[in-house]
Amino acid sequence: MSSSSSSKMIELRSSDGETFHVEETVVLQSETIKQMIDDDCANAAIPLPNVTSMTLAKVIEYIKKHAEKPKDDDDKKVAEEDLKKFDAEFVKVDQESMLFDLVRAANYLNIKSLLDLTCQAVADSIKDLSVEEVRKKFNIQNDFTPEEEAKVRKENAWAFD
Amino acid sequence: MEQKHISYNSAGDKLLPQYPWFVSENIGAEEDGSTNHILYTLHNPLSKYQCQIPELSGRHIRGYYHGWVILSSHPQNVTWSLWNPVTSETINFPPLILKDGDSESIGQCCLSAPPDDPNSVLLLTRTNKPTFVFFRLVSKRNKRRWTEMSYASQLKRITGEDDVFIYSLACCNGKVYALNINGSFADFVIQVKIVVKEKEVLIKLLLLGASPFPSSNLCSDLTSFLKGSCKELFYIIVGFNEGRLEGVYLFKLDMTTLKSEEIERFKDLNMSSMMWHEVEDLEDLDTSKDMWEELIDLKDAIFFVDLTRDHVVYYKPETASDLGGYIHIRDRTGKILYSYHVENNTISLSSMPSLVQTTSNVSVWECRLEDGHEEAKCTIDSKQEEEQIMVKLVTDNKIGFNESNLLNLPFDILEMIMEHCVGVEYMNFRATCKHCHLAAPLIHWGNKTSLGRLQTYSLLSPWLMVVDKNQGNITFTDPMTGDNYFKKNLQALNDDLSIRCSRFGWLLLESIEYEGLVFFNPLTCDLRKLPEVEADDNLESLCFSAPPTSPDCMVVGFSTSDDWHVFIHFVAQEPSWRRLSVGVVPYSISCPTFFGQDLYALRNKGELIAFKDLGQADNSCTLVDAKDSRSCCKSSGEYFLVKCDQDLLLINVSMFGKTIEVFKRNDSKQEWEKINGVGKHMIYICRTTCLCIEAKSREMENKIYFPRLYSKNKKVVFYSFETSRYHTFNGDKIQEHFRDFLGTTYPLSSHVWIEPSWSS
Repeated sequence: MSSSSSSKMIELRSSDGETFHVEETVVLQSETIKQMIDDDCANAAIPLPNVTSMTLAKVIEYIKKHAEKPKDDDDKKVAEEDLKKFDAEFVKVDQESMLFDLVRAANYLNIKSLLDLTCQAVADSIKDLSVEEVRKKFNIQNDFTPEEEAKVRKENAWAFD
Repeated sequence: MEQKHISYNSAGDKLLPQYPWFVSENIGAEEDGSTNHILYTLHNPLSKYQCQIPELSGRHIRGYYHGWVILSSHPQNVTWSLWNPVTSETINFPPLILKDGDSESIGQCCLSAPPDDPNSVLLLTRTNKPTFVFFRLVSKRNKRRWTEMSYASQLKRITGEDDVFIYSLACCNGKVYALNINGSFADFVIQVKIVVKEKEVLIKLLLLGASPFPSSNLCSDLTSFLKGSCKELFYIIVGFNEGRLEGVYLFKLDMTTLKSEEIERFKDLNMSSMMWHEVEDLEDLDTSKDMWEELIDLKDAIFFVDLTRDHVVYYKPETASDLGGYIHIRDRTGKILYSYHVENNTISLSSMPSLVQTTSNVSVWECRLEDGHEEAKCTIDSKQEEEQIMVKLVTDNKIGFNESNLLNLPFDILEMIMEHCVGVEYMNFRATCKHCHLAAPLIHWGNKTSLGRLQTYSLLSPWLMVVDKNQGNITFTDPMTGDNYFKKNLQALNDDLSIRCSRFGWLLLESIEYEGLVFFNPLTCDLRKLPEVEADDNLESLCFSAPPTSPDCMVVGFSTSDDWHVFIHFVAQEPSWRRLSVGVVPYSISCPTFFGQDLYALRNKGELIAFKDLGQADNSCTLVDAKDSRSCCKSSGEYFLVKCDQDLLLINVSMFGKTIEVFKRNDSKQEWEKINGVGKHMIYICRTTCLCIEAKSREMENKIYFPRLYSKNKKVVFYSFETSRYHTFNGDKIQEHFRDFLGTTYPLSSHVWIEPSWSS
């Protein structure tokens, strides 16, 4: 998949047994994997029992894009813009569950920028929604007693004070 | 004295004492031409009792004193009687024959003491003559008759004026009080001292003091009323502006706390040969106002003020708590009921129940009722319980059993997601369930540290902001969700301020505390003073072109006191105002609206004027076009001007919102063209600020939002061009449609639309 062959390749194995080959420089964005490599545990395929192949493919797409290095300063600005667009498109997933899988994967692999991006995407998805609408969206059961709910609403009503 | 015992109508047994009951008569409703009486409550106009009360037949209820109803024949006022609904006793008076025969001019009445009290006098006023007409109830002499006496010279000793009349009689703590009308200096509260002697009745007028006056009032058409209870005297002012009720003020005077020097302060007053205008030292008069306390809560009491006829006021000290706290005002046409909630300072509009003819006589059933109404009470309560159960069932159905992706996340990740939410979304998130609530601690967004997180935060819709001076709070209402947010103790909003304009999240305030104009962002509490305006009078209309944080911010105001001037201030430039003379006769100016470098406004309620190239270096401005836009509108009413994208729109809202017309300015033809919608835009109107914004969500567009709430669900009312009706939002659905503002509630406190902004 990669055009450059100078870097060492690391093998990753998803929870459903699929393997992915990724350059070491790219995969180092994951603090978790970096630690494994540093600890010399990356001689064989690194097992990632918490990440499915579908999610891992997405994660690799992300870290690859973010590993691209601009050649000069002019290019840098263009690249930054390009990366912003990529990020915006990246979190537009068809299924809400995919977004949550990415959040978990980013957390497990400890990729801070991806974790921020996906958490922000979840936060953005409830922009302008009412409490009821948020419950509906995320299948949240209202387990407050009426008194507790009234208390929370009162807290919220004064939160701009 | 003739006393009759007639069985009291059975409907009386069903009147629950905790509800305010009204009685109205339906003259000639029956086939035989006899009169029906309808007893009903406002909380449920459908549960009414129709009956014939023989005592009331053909008579008006003129007042209620000491447990007795005063009745007079209608409309001639010749036959007068007292009726005690509890004991069913009636007392009839001999026919009232006035010397001039004009008994229709009888104004108000008052029974000074219970009928068996030797001092009891039935006192009547006239609307066209400075005389009292009275009848002494208990007299050893056989010759009982009506007496008429003039109070003209006595009243002149108090007011210093001729052609002044006594009105609004009230009985309190065993004494009779009244007000004067037609006075040019002030309204006075006057004690009507009735001294009953063996052979004669003496009536003396004694000034108690000047009437209290509200600290701030913007109404031009004011009417005052006096009402007494056992120990307290109430003074109510009702204020209209061009037919709209915009001010209600209530004052109380506790008679038991009055000292004798306060009562007799004006004992030796004689204004017969001088006018109050000529009096230099008015300290006594001013001090007398301080005896009154302005009430900001009525608790469980209600008042009913009827403007249709002789301005009668009814008072019921206790009702069911959810119905208390109101002054109900029936308007002059008899069709509209304004229910003023004293504590909230709001008015709810409704139509009088259709069962009541507009011409008919409506009174509050002030009479005390006996116990033993358990049966009827049960019916009402069980009905409410049923409704509550229904609501509960609906919520139960909503519970789903699918797994939640969000709640399955590890707690620390959930916390992290919460940290990415700000403002309303953060609050909504933590209000969904206990787990989310735990993951998202309460954040006070007004804190300096939290404010930074809201820098770029924006909302779907402007909020309606209402300043509640009584509570010291401001309330923000989201028109979409109906959610309320509160802030308290804002120093900038504490004193007698007036909001002059609101844009970009900033308010332009006129504040006594800051001695002039200030910009204030109520959400960040950022406050910026403006330089002093050297105008003869307060600037009438104000607006600004950009947030005060912007280098382009230009503030424009108009002074119309003597000469017409435009005042301009550039916030980022010199700390002063430029004054430009317009050189034409001043008129009132409203709705100033920026349009690029030009400024448009409405003059004289409806004419469009424009100032071209305002603020250009040559220090001049050109007044163009003063065309009457009113000719195109079907109705008179309120006019609003707003910039909508590249167009200028004129909005006409008729009385009670019965019609709404919107016109687009055609510049080449110099005409207003009627339009039937505003497309993707949403318009927010109120007196000081009109906003037109492109809607971010489809359900918000093509609508006009009003600073009023639908009384039933407390949600913001909007007009939809699609349906030509008024609605409110319920979640993502649109519900309730109605044709006018009846059934809505509007604030009398300062209010304005604000586009909340936290950017600095």
